[in-house]
Amino acid sequence: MKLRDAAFSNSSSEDVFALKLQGVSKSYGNVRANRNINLSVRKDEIHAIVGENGAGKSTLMKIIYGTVEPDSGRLEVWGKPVQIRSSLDAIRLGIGMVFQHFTLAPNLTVAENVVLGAEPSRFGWLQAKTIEDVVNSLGSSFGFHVPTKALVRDLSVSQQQRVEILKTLYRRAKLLILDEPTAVLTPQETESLFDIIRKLRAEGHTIIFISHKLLEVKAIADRITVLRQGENVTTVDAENVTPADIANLMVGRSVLSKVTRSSSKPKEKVCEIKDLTVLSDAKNEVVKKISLTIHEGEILGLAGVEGNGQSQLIECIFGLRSPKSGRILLKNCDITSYSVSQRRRLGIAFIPPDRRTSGVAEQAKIFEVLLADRMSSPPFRKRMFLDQFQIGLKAKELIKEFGIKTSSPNSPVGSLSGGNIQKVVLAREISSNPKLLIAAEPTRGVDVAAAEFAHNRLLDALKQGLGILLLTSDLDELVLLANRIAVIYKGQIVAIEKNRPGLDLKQIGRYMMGVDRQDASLLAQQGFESL
Amino acid sequence: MEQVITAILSASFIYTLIRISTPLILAAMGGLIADQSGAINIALEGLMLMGAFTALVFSGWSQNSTIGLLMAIVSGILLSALLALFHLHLKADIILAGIAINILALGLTSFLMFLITGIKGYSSGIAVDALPNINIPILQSAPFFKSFSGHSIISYLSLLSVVGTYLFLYKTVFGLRLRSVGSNPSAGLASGISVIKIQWLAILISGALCGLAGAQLSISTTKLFVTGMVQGRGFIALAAVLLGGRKPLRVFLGALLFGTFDALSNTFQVLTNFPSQFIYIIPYVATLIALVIYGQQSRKARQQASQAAEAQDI
Amino acid sequence: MLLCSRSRDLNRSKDWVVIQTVEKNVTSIRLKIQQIIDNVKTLPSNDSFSVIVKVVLAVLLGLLIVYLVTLVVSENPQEAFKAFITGPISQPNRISDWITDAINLTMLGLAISIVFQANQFSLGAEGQLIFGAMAAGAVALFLPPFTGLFIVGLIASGVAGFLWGVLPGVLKAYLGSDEIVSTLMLNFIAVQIYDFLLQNFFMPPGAGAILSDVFPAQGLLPVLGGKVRTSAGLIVAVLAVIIVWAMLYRTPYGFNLRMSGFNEKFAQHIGLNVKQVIWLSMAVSGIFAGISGGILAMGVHTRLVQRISGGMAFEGIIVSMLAQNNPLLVPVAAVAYSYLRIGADVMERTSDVSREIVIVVQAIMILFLTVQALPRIRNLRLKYAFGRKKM
Repeated sequence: MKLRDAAFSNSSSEDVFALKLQGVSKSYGNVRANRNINLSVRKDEIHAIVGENGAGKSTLMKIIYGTVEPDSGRLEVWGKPVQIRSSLDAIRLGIGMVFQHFTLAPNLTVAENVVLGAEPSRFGWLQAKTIEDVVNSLGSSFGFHVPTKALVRDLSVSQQQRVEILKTLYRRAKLLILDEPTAVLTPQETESLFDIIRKLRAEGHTIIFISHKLLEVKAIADRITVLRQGENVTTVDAENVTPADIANLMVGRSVLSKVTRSSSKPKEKVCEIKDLTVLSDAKNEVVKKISLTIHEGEILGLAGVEGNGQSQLIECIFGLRSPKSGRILLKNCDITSYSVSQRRRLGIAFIPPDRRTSGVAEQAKIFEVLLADRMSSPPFRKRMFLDQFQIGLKAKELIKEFGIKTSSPNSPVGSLSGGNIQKVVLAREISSNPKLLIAAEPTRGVDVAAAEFAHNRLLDALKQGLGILLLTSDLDELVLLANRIAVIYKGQIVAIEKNRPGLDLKQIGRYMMGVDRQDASLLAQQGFESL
Repeated sequence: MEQVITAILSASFIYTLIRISTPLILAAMGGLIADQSGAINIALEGLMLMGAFTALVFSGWSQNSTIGLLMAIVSGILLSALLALFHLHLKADIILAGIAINILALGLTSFLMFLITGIKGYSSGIAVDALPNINIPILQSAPFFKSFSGHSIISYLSLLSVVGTYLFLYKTVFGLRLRSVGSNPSAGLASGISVIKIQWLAILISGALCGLAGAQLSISTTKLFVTGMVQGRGFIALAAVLLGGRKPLRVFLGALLFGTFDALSNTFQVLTNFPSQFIYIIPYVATLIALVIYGQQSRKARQQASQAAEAQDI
Repeated sequence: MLLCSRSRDLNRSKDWVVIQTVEKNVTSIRLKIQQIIDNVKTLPSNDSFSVIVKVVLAVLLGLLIVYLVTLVVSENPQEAFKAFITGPISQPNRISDWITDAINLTMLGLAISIVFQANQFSLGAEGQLIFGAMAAGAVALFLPPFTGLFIVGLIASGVAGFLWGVLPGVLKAYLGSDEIVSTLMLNFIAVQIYDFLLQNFFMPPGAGAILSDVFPAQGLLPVLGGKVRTSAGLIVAVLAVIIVWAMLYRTPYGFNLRMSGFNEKFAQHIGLNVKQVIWLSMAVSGIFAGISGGILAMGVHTRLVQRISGGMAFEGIIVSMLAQNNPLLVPVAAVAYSYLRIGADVMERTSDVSREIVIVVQAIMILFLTVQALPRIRNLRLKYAFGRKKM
């Protein structure tokens, strides 16, 4: 109670709020992205908003910037109640937003990008000189220089970010929202961004800083608001808290289905990952020398804040991405250079995190998607042709076994509900009798019943002796299912814990936030130890 | 072979080259502007055909080549408006809609030509007021430069269109916004720019330029209209846009290159036994090669894009 | 005792097996029947009813336009329109023309439906057709005549089309070159090569016109029928429809093609080699375009002539669009569409309305169909065609 609504208790009449939200809620269907959020941002402060993925940060920002309309609640900007219906409204109110995904035109120069939409011109002709000068002086007045004549596509990411900031300043924004601005930056770049932000504050700007990097938040913010599961937990003064405190506030628990985890003894190694280094699309090392072992009958849970290399890691294990170095062994067979189909044949299955976009093809029929991975092999293939009979038989069997609600296996997958689509994917992957099943966010976006069904299916499958690598952003799910929990942070495994009653979840949270890590020898022991 | 070389170096070759390249340059500029706005205009071919037809009919009807010229521009604009309407408002795929416009122009022009003349295939019996050639006295006296004199107004306009396109794209507010929309529509949106409005105008401009290009074919180079007389020049213009890397001057050079090989193949055909087809093929092969190179570049660019996109996650 | 019980168990299990087998057979027969019913239900179209309505509307719209235009331009509109409507079936030779035209449209429609189903966009049918005709011509003219020479010619035309399709396919799949532009360029190149070879190799020395000799009888497609006649191309087309349908819906290759056409990411996840699917789809499409060139050369023109393709490649696109890319509907669309074409021909010959009206109708039908149809093709990031530099 002391922490909660600190902003309100502290606020006195001389406080001027740049932005005030009261009771703001927003739902997408059944998902409540924001619930009764109260937020007060003082003038001239750096206000950090922290929270896990899915805590409702981005929805909140979209509401403030006018791209999403709230279901209920009140907004005040500069002390006046307002309604923000579009980003143009927001710009007019002096709100500027630097998105995670930059909205720059890559083929235009820096100066052109900055002035776009409000160009200094005479009779429709651009005033090139004026544009240059304006952009240059704008940059130098806030202590950063960008090459005005360079094309944006040739700039580094941090320079592009500065262009975005300049763009909002050019539009006279007084309240700047920076959405995960340091995510793209090196530590040095982050430092100079912080200099810029402090300079902006000194010049009378208010900054909302969204992040999940607690050390940085602690370093830059005046006050911090913590969001969890769509609600604001509290607002605190940055001086008075430690990163560990914030981590504790962020890590919450959700109500989960009841399942019984088998305590069967894991036996042989199914899959060994040795010193795996993986590059991202942009050729950054996002997985650095990771070693992991998954055993028969075991669920190894992989915990981590999104974007710490876990998606590249599982893509690499599955064969969608080739590693820079390191080896992957499946049952002592080196599969590092194998294609996806070869890996599938050897017994790796994959439940992708984005099931609608990569787990199924919505226009395809249910029976096609159910057996898509094995159409080219017997019994579904008879010489050149598909054996429609066998396919139909098996599809109907799976539909029955997994309780997929549909009128016909010939219906398009797109006609199914989200929960049923998830069942289609589950059915395909589990029925392929894999040795290793990679399950990424297996219950994301489905209701409790469907989640419970998925959990039980995974545990059933476990009894057949396969190993499961479970990647989920839901800590409770991890604790519910996993035998061991490995924590990934910045492309490295920083901790591996056995899942036992009384496991300190907060400690896991601290590992995930990079606040703490196990020491190397313990880690090595945990990693290779046979349970 | 000597004959060929002398022919190429002669003033009349340059003259022919300019005449042949004129429609290519205009259509390429039109294609470039549409492309820079992010709406690839595959209908250049049909728009030119329509322009050629209209120019001839109105020039013949009014016995005034200027009216023919202006009506060609109008017809190009009207037909491109149809493309814009279907693509931007009815959400038709722009490639398929462009193909449809090409076919429409082919059908409409030959159908109407038959209606007017009663004869199939060409504009028999229409006496055309051809565009006068404009002589530039200063150039005429110079030995080499005289080949730059005595062209139709459209040829000079085509050269102007290169400068105009450059100035428009890079020196005006509208050009800047146009390029921003083509480069990244969300950049335009974030700055409060109407993407649809910009693309409408870009498509209309390309229609106007193509109409002009068509007029060159029917009331300057020749004085008749033949069914399908554009003969793929619209697609060649599109290839020139690609070959020139979407930069006005380079696109101009690309169009000139196609024109050169066209003129060359004529020369070879007349003077030697060397199969002209192989000379004619060269620009297409060059475009294919350029396509491969650009394909690679766009991959690299995509990598940069993912760098920017994923950067948030790390 | 133990032994006894075991044997009883054995007996029981035997019975059990029998019962199970019977049950299994019964269920399997039931399932098989259900399967057939399902198949019949889903054969004509995998799209909804409304799509069929739109296609019918498109055709009606075409007829309406023809009618309105004849009203405006013709001295005797009723006669002209009647000629258009009844023309194709008014005389045996017109029916023959109609069938012949439909055969070619079917082949081209099939070719396009394959690439469209793979979510690619080839305009290359023209070049493939030309190469197919050329290959057929080479076989018919330069091989010693023997019975069945035309079969070799057809095979050669298919192979030629395949090879001319491999090129843009590989460029697209492995080098990321936009297939629209590359196929267009390859069309131009094919036209020039054809011209060159026709003038320098196929044309008999001293000939007055740019034509090859008429093929020897063995190199021509056998004529079928009596008064209403067509070539063996009809059989080829019927076979092609069955083959393309079976390939797309009954073989793993076609399955892979359709899946990666639906969703490339999904295809990767289930272990398909998407790049291979892309280039193969364009190459296999070339087979059918190539064979249509062979049919044109060996069954229609009986020799190689200039401009043998006559812009037929774009006709393939409208046929495939009308058929919703469904190979079983392609011949239906081809027959309907060629009816319009031949009707326009007849109208031109017997009245004062020119046949080009049908080209206008074609354009309007494409426009009409693109508005609603092909939502998938729309996603082709076409705005970024030409390898647009995207950040």
